[in-house]
Amino acid sequence: MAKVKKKKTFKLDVFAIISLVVIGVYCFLMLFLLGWGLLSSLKHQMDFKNNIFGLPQSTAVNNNFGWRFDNYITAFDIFKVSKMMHTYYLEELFLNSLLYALSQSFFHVATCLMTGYACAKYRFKLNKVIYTTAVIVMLIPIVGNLPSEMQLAKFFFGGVNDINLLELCIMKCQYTGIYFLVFYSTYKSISWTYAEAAQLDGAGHFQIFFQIMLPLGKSAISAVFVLLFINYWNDYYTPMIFWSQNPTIAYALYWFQRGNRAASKPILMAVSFLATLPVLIVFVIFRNKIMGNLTMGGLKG
Amino acid sequence: MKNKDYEQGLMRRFKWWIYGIKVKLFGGDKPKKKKSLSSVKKNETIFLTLFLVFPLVQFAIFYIGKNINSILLAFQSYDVNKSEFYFSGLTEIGKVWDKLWIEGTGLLDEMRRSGIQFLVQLLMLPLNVFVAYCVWKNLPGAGFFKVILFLPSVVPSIVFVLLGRYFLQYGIPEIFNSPGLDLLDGRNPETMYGFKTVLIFGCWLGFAGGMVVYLGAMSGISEDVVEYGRLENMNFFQEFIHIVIPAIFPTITTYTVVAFAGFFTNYGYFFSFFGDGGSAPCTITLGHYFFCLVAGNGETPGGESAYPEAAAGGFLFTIVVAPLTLLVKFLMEKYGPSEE
Repeated sequence: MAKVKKKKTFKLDVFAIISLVVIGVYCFLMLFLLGWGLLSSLKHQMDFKNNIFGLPQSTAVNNNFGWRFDNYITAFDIFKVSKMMHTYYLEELFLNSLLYALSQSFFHVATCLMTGYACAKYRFKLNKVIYTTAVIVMLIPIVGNLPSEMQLAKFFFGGVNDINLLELCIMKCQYTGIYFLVFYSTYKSISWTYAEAAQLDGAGHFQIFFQIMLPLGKSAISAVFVLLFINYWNDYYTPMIFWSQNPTIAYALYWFQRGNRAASKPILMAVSFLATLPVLIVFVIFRNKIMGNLTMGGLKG
Repeated sequence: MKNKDYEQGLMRRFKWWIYGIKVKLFGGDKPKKKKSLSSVKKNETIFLTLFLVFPLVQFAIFYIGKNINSILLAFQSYDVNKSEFYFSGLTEIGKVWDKLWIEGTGLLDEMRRSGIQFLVQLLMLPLNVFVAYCVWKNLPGAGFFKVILFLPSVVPSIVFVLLGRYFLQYGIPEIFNSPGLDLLDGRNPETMYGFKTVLIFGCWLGFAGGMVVYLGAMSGISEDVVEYGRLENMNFFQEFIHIVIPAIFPTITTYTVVAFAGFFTNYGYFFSFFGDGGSAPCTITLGHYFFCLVAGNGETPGGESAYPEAAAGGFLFTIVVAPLTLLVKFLMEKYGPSEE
């Protein structure tokens, strides 16, 4: 049956018009900065310096200025980060980012999902303790424990900034936080009768989880996974401290822009847009899933 | 027809004959054993153990263990000659406490700027809620606005920092026709252009902060309540004040609490823009100072000798901020507007 969507109606009064104008101006500025960056990424370095806001131009002396679409290809040759004995080119930086974002998201989703599901669907002694701990940890801020975390990394994994990805995922995939609550409420709202029916047919707990409950909660799981993926792709603090021997693209961008290392600003801007491309694609593909779930009740399944 | 019935009967008898042989050879179909209650419970226990052991052990080590170790570290100092930590009582905490009140070489300026940053963040909260409300109300173009407003959550922040840096370095001087203008000068204590610029930049990027969560909370507002507001002839702003804010106040409380918690830890975009200040270290806020102390400039981490000071600072701030956070939560829940 087709859903009839009730549209909110309102009078377009003076407050609404002012709000509209303010948001419009904000959106214009946002698009202006991104547009300016995109345009600049298509310029020659000299053209960028002499012609900040104009379209890419060729001059009588230098007709190789113009539109430099090849900046996006050149970036793959000249954008590199040297760490220890290895030089990482753009494709390797992308690969590191992809591995980092996928593994961290997977581990994070897995721990939150397992605890959220177990607490929502089973009665056991630790149930309330696990749930209450997750809520308390969100409420009470504990400040300045980074040195301690670095010590633990050294103690368990034998290093601080060169631990491997699996170790990093294990260290960071804490179950507490908002996504535990998302999975908890998702599974709380799913009826247990499906599982009872499966139990009558002889299904075990693992079968119930993997064959019934996992597909039922896939909407929330995929939305959380996508949000986490975007989050981890953009994160450069954690790789900078614990995984700096395998730089990600976000960390490499920080490394370049802070030290003003790149000779060519347009190429650095081209790299920025290349780094944005994967998350933009993910966002465009899953936009309805994320936005839909979010606007229909805060990441509900 | 008669012939067909005869054939079917023959087949049935043949099947029974085969079945009889099968029973004689292998025994009949045994009735399924009903699982006993203890075996059901045992299976459940095994399942729960396998499911929970990893998250709980991980939490015990990397959250509880980490924080206990952090407390212990706050009472230790580092012997550079022996390269080891030793218990030194309140020495490090005392050092941090003294440093907090010293201007110039101390952290008093950082504390002031942390206060300013905190107030600005607090002022941004109602704006964030209002922006989410505008999207929720489906203003003309809301679909387009939603995508643009969501961009700062999708595009890596470091990309915005990079574009912002070049725009401030090359674009702004061009617009104002003043080539020497350096709005990112973080070292001049007179102007503190760097602090102001990055603060404004952070506000600009955080214009629609929390939109995701606020929209989720607003979608739970009953249509009847909105209809009631319409019947009462409430305008756009009145509906926001009298209906939306009370309805999503628990979410607003959470964000306010988080803002309080960030007083000592937030380094906003300061680290992204300035790192640790390079050859002439200059930190902007307390969060920035303590982060740089441990993380260094992002290439070479700070040495182990800095750990006790950072842990002592963390310990001191947690003692202040944890009860304060809970107090704010309590007061907001008690005196905040209610949906009724």
